[in-house]
Amino acid sequence: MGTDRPSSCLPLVSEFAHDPDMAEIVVEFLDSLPERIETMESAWRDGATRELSTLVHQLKGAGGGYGYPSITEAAGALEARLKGTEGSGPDSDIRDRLSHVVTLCRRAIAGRRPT
Amino acid sequence: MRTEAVHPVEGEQRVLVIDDSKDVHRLLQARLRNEELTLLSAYSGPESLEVATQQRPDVILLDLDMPGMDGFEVMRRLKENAATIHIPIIILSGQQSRQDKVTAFDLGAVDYITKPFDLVELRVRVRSAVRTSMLVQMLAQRAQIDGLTGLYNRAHFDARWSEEVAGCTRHNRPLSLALLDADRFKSINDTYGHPAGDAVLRGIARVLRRECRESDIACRFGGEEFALIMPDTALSSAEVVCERIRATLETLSWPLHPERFVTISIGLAGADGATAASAEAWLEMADRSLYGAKNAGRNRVLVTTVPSRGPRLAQAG
Repeated sequence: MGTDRPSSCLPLVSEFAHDPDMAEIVVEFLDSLPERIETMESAWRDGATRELSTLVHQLKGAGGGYGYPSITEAAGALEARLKGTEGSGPDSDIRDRLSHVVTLCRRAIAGRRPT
Repeated sequence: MRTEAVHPVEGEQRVLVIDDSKDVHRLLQARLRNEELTLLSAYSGPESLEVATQQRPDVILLDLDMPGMDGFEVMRRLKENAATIHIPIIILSGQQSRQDKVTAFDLGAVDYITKPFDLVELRVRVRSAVRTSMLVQMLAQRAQIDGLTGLYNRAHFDARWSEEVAGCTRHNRPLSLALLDADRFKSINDTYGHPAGDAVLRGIARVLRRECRESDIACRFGGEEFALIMPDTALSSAEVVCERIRATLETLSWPLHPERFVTISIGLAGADGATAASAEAWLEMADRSLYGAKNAGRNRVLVTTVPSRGPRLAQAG
């Protein structure tokens, strides 16, 4: 696996960017992403698989809801992989999947509409 | 207990969202903003059981995939608890396996929404569950309503009266009870027929509804007798309410017998705080007052003070 990393680095825009009910909380979600990325990466570095799994699970549940189905999909794939490795050491496949999730999050941040 | 949007609006249906993800709560708040619903929140299985038991929401949206106690376990426990067994549960989950759905419905879920939610689907499914919940509540309430007068029936009175007496004793709050009986009702039935008698009973019920306060509980006690529970009401205020009812009724004219007025006798028993009287003993005191009002010539209010708990009661006894 790990070959499904998108070649595109274009900014990601929320499907709900123009939805007046959603615009405000989409921005809040984007604001929360840098810290989520940092926490996931540090959990990964520390080998805290259980913590990483929880963070990824939350991202999976959130992404699509805020209009980023690709984040949900990528986080779901990472979570499935993590579930099988709980308690064991680092694994390059997990790292690839994590960096795919992080890339999508950064693309979402980059796609934030100017306010 | 952690709840968001705890600004319950009277009459609004309350939906409890159970999900470990704050994002889901935030998304649902945004998605259901215009639905005239009050959203309650719980972030874990154990917390959700506490909130559901205390708040008795009309509908529950439940995530299956939670750390610790998962959604299936939460549902099992909700269905084992008499306080929560009838609350409709909609499953909210990213899991899409057929087995999960089958298990959820077997455990008593009424519906299943897959995350991420489709806005329109989410709204109509919640609306549908809320509507069903309202109909079930309405049926339950109907079982407590007297068919002729639309007031609460005797079964409701018995349950409420015991609760109110217990509350008065526990919290040292005033409480009053009035028993009201139409004067010479049998002769109205005998002279003008049962439709006229029924019209009188409905007329008395209308006066009761109009003249008593929002917090009072008016019941048809049986036959031509009515009961009025007045929570948080001292005897002096209760007497004013009863006098108003009596005075209003004696001035009414009745289309089926314009020549005959209808009056009512009222026995009132009340306490300004905690009392040692049981619900039954209190009811007997009100009944004796009513009997006294009849014997004293009818069309009047007779008042009895229910003895307070404590030294004065010991002296009196």
